[in-house]
Amino acid sequence: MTLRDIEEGQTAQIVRVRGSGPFRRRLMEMGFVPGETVFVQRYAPLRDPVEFVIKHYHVSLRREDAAFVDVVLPSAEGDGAAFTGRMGQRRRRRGWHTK
Amino acid sequence: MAHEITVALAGNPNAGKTTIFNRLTGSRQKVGNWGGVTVDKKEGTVNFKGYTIHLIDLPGTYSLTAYSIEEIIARNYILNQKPDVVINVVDASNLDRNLYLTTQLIELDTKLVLAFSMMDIAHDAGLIIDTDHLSELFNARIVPLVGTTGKGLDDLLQAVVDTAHQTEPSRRHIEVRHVKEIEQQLETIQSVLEKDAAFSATHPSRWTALKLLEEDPEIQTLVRESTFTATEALDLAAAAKQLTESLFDDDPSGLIVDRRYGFVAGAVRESVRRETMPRIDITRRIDSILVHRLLGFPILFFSIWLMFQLTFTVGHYPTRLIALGVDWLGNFLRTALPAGVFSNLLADGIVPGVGGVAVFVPNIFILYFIISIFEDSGYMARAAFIMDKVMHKLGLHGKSFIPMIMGFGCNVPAIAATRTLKSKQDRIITILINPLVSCSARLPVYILLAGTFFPRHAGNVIFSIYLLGIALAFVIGRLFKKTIFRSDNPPFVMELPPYRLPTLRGTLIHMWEQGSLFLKKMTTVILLGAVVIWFLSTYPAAPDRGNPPTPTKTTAVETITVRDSSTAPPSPSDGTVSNGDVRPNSMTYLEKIGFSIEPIFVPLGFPWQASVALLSGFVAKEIVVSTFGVLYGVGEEKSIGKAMIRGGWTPAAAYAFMVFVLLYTPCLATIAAIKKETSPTIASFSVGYSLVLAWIVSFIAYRIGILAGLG
Repeated sequence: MTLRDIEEGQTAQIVRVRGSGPFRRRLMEMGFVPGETVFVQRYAPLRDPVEFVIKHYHVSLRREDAAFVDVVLPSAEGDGAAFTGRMGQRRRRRGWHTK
Repeated sequence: MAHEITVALAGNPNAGKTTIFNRLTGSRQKVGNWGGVTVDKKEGTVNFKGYTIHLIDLPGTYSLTAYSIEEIIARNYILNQKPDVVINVVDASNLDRNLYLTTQLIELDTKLVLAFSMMDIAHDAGLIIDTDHLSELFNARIVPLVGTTGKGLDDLLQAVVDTAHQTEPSRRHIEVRHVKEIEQQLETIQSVLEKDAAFSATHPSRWTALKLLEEDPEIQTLVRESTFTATEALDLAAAAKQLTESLFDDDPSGLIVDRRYGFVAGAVRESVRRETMPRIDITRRIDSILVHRLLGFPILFFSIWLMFQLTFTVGHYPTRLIALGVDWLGNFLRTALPAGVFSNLLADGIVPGVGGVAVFVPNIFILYFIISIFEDSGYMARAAFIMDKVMHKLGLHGKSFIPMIMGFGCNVPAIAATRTLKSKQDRIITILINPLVSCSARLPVYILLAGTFFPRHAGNVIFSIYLLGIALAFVIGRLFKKTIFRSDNPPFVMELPPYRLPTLRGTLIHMWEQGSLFLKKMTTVILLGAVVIWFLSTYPAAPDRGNPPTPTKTTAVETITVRDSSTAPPSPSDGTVSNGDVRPNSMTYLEKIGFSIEPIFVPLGFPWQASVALLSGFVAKEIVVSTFGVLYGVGEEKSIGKAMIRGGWTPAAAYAFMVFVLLYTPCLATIAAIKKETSPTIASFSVGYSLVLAWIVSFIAYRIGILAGLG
């Protein structure tokens, strides 16, 4: 599973950043390091790019780039909810996610 | 250095660096460029307790790799200029990421002071920061600063003075410890580098070794060029990469980033407590509207519309005032000064030339005022976020949208703004299509022509020219991306900073910086251009100017226009308004040139004055209007229009001319900027392709105009 597949309002944990060279280093330097938790704040009006919250700041990635970040969903739903608050849960139920 | 201290300001974008710099230096600052590139370099001085502190504002960066020119500039300044102290401005409300840069400043082995900005915001967000503990971990004084009030700045200066006086041995050395294997490799490479005593005396060897492990292309080249240890050191770095890849399935640079963040995370864990969950996240609330799925685009377009309304409708009033002043000055000089070359030069060359541009100064300043608000508030990043998918379709970055918008003001700073783009290809394409975005210097031409020939629909006509420019930018951009520049894209990683209320002071400073760049361009390039044009259009000629028109001239105009569009009203020869100032049997240089290239423009319906005006417009497009003024021997805009109608211009030709002015070669200053940002080849290409494009599109426009009955 990659960051590309995570829905609006969900939280995931980074396992690994693929790619190489400056591309990969840039992603990592902006905080996308293994172990870090990422919250998907919103998709742009045209569904790309995506706004994430990582290391307590907001950053946007294109979905094609987000596909280089391998993630897992935390097993306990509670983690995500505590982080995202109610807004995230409401979004999730609406299910705006498309592939 | 006892009483002179050089201080560099480093920090993440949006960390409040500029605010602090402005607060400290006030008006004692100057803006320039970093050698050879157009990244802003701001310098200023502060006097504090008998010390003269020179401040240099480094470009805002997230890191110090060779990822962008800003990063290279920042680190090279620290390495090569060796400032006495580096102030690292850290956004206290976001230590997790901001301190990442700090770990790299530590690596540079420089005297460091941490300025914690936004302490009030951090406090509101429920963060309790143990600055004493953090200070110990990073071995640097930490000075908390509050918002935009300037509270804490004296403490900051005191810390700078104290730190500057620390002697080497008294400084405790700290560093981020890396994974064992990396540390071993670092040590080996370091010892190899230190074999070259001369090299390692000027280049901190641990830092250089780290960069070699990170495969930093700049440093690889530096090492290759300047030390005999290069081969050995580079081989070791390559071996280290193989080792870590087999052991950790990761390259050294990944492991290094990971450890730096690990260090930061550890430090933050030990010294920051999150007291409460933030009550309301204002940024998130605002974004839920401004970046809304359905509302995002309408709001963006409305904002841009508003920007233009404010620029041009509000700007109209001061503009009128300046125009009246310029007219008055011209008339005054003509009557007050004894007739002669000098009074001609002043009244007919310099005053109308510069005055014709000065009237647009209010528009420029208002536009930059609004752009500053967009930038400082954080909305610009949202615009890029919303527009990225569209820009990406052109093969560009959402951030390309920002230089494109700025292009509406002036292409020169817009091209400078492409520095924020990380990919060279993106930058070149954005630069090449930027002049298609109609800058404000072209507006006087549109206002004159649209106002004269389409008095009822001037607004719509001008709007259509702008739209045409945008549409062509898209078409051409896509064409370039598909044909000339095909390459992979860098990751689109863009921070969406928290919304901040821009301060009036900051916005005014920003506006002044950008606006005065335009003023500078005006007073140097344009003044020179106006004088050259005045010279070319006066000589060789009889010394009496301000003369009646002559039959020769009128005939010339009529021949062209009759031949071309046949509807030209006969020009008056009563002498109230002249069509130019060609003397019998003697043409000025400019007219000679104009006449000789005039056949090129016949298919577009332009009278010969147009070719002359376009020639002079090469210097700067606003000169087109003043050239018409000089050629038709009138100063005020309305009379230029009347003279043009008499001179045989048709609405179709006028529209085609506007299209031509929109598209043809960028002005001299823009070409200079393009050359600076790219290469002479790209700059000449820009000139060439735009001339061809301008001719083709104008031709089409003119023919359509004739079909529509405007000929």
